[in-house]
Amino acid sequence: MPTQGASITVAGGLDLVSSSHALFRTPGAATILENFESSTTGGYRRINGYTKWGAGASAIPSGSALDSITGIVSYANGVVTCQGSNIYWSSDGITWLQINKDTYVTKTGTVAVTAGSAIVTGTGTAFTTEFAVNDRIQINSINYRVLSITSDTVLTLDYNVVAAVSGVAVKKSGIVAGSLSAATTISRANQSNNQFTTFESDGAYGSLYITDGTNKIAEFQITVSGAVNTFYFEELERSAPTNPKICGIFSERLVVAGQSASTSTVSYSDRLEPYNFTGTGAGEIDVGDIIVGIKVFRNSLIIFCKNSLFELTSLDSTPILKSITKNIGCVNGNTIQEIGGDLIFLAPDGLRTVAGTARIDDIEIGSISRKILPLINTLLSNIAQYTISSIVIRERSQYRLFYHQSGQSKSGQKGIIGTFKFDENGVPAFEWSETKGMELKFCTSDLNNSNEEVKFGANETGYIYQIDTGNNFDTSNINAKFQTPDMDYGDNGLRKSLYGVKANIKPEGTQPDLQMRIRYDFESTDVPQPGAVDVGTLSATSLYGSAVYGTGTYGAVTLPSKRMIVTGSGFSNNFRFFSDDTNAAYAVNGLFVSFIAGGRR
Amino acid sequence: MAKDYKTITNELLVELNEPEVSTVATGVGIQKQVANVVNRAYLDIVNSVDDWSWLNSDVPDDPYYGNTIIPTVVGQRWYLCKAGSANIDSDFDSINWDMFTLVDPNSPYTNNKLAFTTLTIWRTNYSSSEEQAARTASYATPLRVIRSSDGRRFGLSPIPDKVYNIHFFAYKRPTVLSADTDTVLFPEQYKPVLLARARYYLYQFKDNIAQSQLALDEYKKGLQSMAATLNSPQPSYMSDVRFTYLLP
Repeated sequence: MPTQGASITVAGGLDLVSSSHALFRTPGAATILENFESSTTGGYRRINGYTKWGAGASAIPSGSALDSITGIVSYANGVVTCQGSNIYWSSDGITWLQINKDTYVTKTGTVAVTAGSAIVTGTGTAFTTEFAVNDRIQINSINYRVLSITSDTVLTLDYNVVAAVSGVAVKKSGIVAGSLSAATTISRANQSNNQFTTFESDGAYGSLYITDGTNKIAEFQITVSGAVNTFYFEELERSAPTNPKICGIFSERLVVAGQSASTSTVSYSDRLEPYNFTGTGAGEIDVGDIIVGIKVFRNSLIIFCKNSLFELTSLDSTPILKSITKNIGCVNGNTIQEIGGDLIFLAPDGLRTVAGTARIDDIEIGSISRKILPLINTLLSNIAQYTISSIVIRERSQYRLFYHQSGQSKSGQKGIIGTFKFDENGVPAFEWSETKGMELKFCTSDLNNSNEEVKFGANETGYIYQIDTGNNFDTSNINAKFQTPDMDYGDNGLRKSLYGVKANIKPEGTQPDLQMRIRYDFESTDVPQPGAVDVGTLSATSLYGSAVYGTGTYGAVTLPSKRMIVTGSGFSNNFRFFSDDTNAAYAVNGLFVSFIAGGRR
Repeated sequence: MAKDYKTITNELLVELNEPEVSTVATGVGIQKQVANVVNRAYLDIVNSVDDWSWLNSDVPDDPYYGNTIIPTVVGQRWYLCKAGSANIDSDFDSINWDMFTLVDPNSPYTNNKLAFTTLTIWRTNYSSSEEQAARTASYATPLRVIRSSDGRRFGLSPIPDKVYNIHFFAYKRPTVLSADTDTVLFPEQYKPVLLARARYYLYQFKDNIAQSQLALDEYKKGLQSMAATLNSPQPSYMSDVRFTYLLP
């Protein structure tokens, strides 16, 4: 009988819900897709690893792995890390500065203020040279902003003083790195699940606001002048909510929620004054449900509650609170991310988008994670055991959700990757895969000032990691598996003897350890199952102008087609590509299978 | 190359592009099918020729009257062809009924070529007189050999009057292959014949009739050659005596 061929284009991502019979018609999908990602350019790509930030010289921010990291965010071309009772910043992962310090420094002269007035009268002061408009100023341990400066001895604060004092020192916030260690610590005890938001105020990097559900809102800023960083840190007063869990920037305001005394209240600052919750533009709204997250979406603030979703608009006039749904809530605020022109979040029935939920309310088809429902169900049923974190990798239109379990081995730590793609019909959809062994408890991604996407993560080792970098999981192998569904080549009643497989695999470097395995008839133990075969050494293309002599591989092709001689026969079969190494990544784009059909027995 | 069960099974599996077995007993699916077909092909070869030389039951004795000797008992007509055999499965595979010889080991050293006589002829011509004689314990030197209806015994006619040795050629039943190291009894040189026969069945299994026919042709040719070489290697002559009479 003549040899036949079948070409399989790898696409569709992980599908754990379709029946085996339905999967006959989608052979490019995957039933196992671990440590692979659905590539935006087609095929499934082995994911990158993560490595310690700072490489061999990397340091734990607090110096002790026993101090739990409770949140990280990229800021000022570096990373802010909350660990133990402190907050740290580093630009290289090697040298960490504790930044939760009293950065106010006493300036020249003394001042006097009157209750009910914003005028400051100085004695021996040098306001015009030592202060500038909008500077943080402290008088009698109360923080203000400078509204205007009249002379060396007269300036106006941004709001009226409550109690009159005279002959007191005047302080200004802002110290250089070298002075931070000697400054007084402002303790941030019992931090947990820190949330961060950046208000693009003055300075190169804006101001960073930090909430943790226990402490006051922290405001941190770095300004640069002549390549010297100046650090500012303080806790917000002025009627600011005392211990909000959640924060965000919306309508040029700082918006916080999740205060222990009012879990259903959203509080917002005055416009352009994120530190001011007393102004005429500030206010608060009770949504009547426990708030777990907030996220700006287009011109609205979406408020994610335990059992409902709201849309808040028009803070500049009369705020309008509109219900999106009262039947679906958000399980965990750390799952909320913006991707693909929509907000994605984890609901009790899976990952959803706000637009989809608004359109079809609580109907299950609003879930975008139906294809990985078993994974989601396992996650949801054990969610109390996990610390959830998520990021968006913009360059790959990718959403990643990690669920870290304390005490679990590294190889057992899991995550979910969703790549936003358009299928062959132009329909937008997420293609899913899993991560295993990627131990991340907190993660963040952002664009730095050079417009490069930076991704960081942390776990219980105390180190900060660069995510999506390198070919190992912090020195451990990346154990990657991609398994197709069983495919019957159009006739499940006919026995097929497989003779050869050509795999189109795009390497990104040298990869000699990739293997392929075939299993027949749904891995039946009644059928002889052949052993794994080596795919062969894959080498990335060397291009004139960029390849390095002695390193690049001469003659490598852009998309190698590796032919493997295979054995066995069955009515259907699957293919598994797997590697467990620290070699270069690769993308499996498709397969061509040569077989001889024969026999219906 | 070897001619053991596992090697033959694996050779066929390789031909079929199937995974080889580590031990035949643990084979599954097509591996099991191939292992079964090997035995089937082996038995086909065994059954195709009655007296395969490689199935000789024993080394022939001297004098060369057979490879099996059964001593007679005075007054006993019937004897198991294979002494001690419990049933047909443990009997000889085949016996050359034209080559029975009676030898008296004692004086007068009688040597009779026992003619094969069918049971019907014996009943018609000899049974009555021998029965009469037996009633008076009057026996004689056997002159004929008869085959019992169950095929397991030979009978002597007349009933022996003393102890004789009955010599004949018998061919044993082969044991089907089961252990990995079990070997086929014929020379390895003829393994392709078995492979061809097995292939014939396997291609049928795979609905590949064309390949199956080719394998059958190969088997038939191979079997002819095998039979000719192993069973009839002696030169065969045909004499034409007509000229003898025509010559002056």
